[in-house]
Amino acid sequence: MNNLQFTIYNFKRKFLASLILSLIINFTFLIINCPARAQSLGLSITPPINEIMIIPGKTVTQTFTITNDGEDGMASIYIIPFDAQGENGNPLLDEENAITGSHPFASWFSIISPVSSFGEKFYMAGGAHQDVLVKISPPSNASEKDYYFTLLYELGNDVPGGITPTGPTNQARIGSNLLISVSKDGNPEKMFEITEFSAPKIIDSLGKLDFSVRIGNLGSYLFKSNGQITIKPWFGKAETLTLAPLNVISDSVRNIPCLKDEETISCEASYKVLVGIYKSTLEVSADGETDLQKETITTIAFPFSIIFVFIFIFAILNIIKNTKNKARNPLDNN
Amino acid sequence: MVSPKSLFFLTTLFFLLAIYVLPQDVQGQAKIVSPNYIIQMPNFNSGAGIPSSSGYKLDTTIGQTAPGLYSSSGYRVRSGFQYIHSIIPFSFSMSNFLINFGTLIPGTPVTLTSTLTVSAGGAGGYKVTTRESGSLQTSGGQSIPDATCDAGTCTESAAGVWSQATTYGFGYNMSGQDIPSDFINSTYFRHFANAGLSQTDQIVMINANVGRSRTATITYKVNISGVQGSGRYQNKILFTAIPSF
Repeated sequence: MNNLQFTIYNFKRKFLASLILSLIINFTFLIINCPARAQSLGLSITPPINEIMIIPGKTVTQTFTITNDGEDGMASIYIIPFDAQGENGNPLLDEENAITGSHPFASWFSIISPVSSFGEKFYMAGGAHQDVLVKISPPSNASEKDYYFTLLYELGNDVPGGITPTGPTNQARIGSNLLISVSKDGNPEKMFEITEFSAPKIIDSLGKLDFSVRIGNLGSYLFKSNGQITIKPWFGKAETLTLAPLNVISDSVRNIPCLKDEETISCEASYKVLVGIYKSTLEVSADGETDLQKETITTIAFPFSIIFVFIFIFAILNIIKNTKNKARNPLDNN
Repeated sequence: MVSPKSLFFLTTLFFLLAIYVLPQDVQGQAKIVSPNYIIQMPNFNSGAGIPSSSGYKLDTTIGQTAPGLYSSSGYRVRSGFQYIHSIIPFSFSMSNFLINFGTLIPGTPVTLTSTLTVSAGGAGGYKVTTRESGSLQTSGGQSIPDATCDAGTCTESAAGVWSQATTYGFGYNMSGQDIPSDFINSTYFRHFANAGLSQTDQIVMINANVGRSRTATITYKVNISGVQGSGRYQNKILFTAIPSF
């Protein structure tokens, strides 16, 4: 009997020990694997740009996918017109004219999902994706030209319970640009000019030719800058740089970089110049549809640095030579 | 009859197995990963960027002219950039959305930071702007002024040196990638554009080219004088990240 009691006691003890051990292991495991959520905001939107050409009176429904990569929060959607800010393709939002019920463009846009009006808040759990469906219907009397808007996804988190902070609470918005061209025939006229095509007129040998390209849109419709720069040296192989096909919106000028693989880079020759005259020709068209416009510039490459180095070496050698002569014939000075 | 040793062994084994059976993060999203980008398939599956209308359902239009005759469909849609053959989401994140300076001591500046990260992988560039709803205020209407720095010359658009403990106010410094050039070092501060005073949003990060995981740190700084009334001073700061067109 005593033996049995001892066995039961021993079993209970070991069971308790194993239970505690397991709990410790489980807790450790959970703590290690718990994702860190340190009051972060995270938003994403796709696609980042939408170019829509539409006949007045027709309707298109566009889907945007938004995500909340931070903590749970309240989201809302807005549409705001924009103009070009500077010459690098940045939009300047006209927030005073955000699309509301009384806005002249109110009839153009309606949100179908996940809410029924712009600015209405909806819950976004952390890590959640949400499709936002927006119906775009320019009225049949809409003027044939371009209209530019940014769809904004705003996300704000509540201050956690029990905290009354001294300091600011941050909110974030992220945008996707909507470039709407209203056209009856889908083939609007595009007008542009080469506002600037420049490179150094004189360049030191072994330097690199660097170009500045600015294209101006003189029409009412956006276009993409399709073209290339061809660099022809006195001798050697010609080189071609491809312009990045970026949107130049109406009544604006845009700096156009070059394209390598899928990256925009500055328009710079990959080879170092030697000596002679380099003729560079810019050929560009709007969307590859209009006639090519051409402009040629000339750069003279001259080995200034090399000549300077030779003069410097020659001068040093001369000084050394004179010093040696004086050392050999000290009486010459008398 | 199971021996106590076996029972102990089986119990331990059961709990250890339970550890691995416990629910863990489900990683069910199909991903295409390259050194330059990650495409999460659900974005495509959900149809982002794919337009639809009654009678028409178009295929994906990634950087291409959508199929279909313009006159019959009534529209043509391009989503994404022509020269980038994938639609990569434009994303913005910020650590520490809640800035809590705690109890402020007059003449003792307090600083806190947030990290801003932008990924404009599918865009040609981006900018991040910011503004505050108003100066830091209590519910009773007392406020901490926007910082004007040691020389009284820094504004919402021009940074200046703020290093003296006798200079009071609320402002910020930027460090890291793609920041405005007037933030020369960590002693240079601006105050936030004040929406209450109709000041326009100011750029805190900008890049004209494609950027993947561009990161900057914003340092918030507050310093109060001995005559500052007690209370909880609060405001809202709005960050807006927009891709280039």
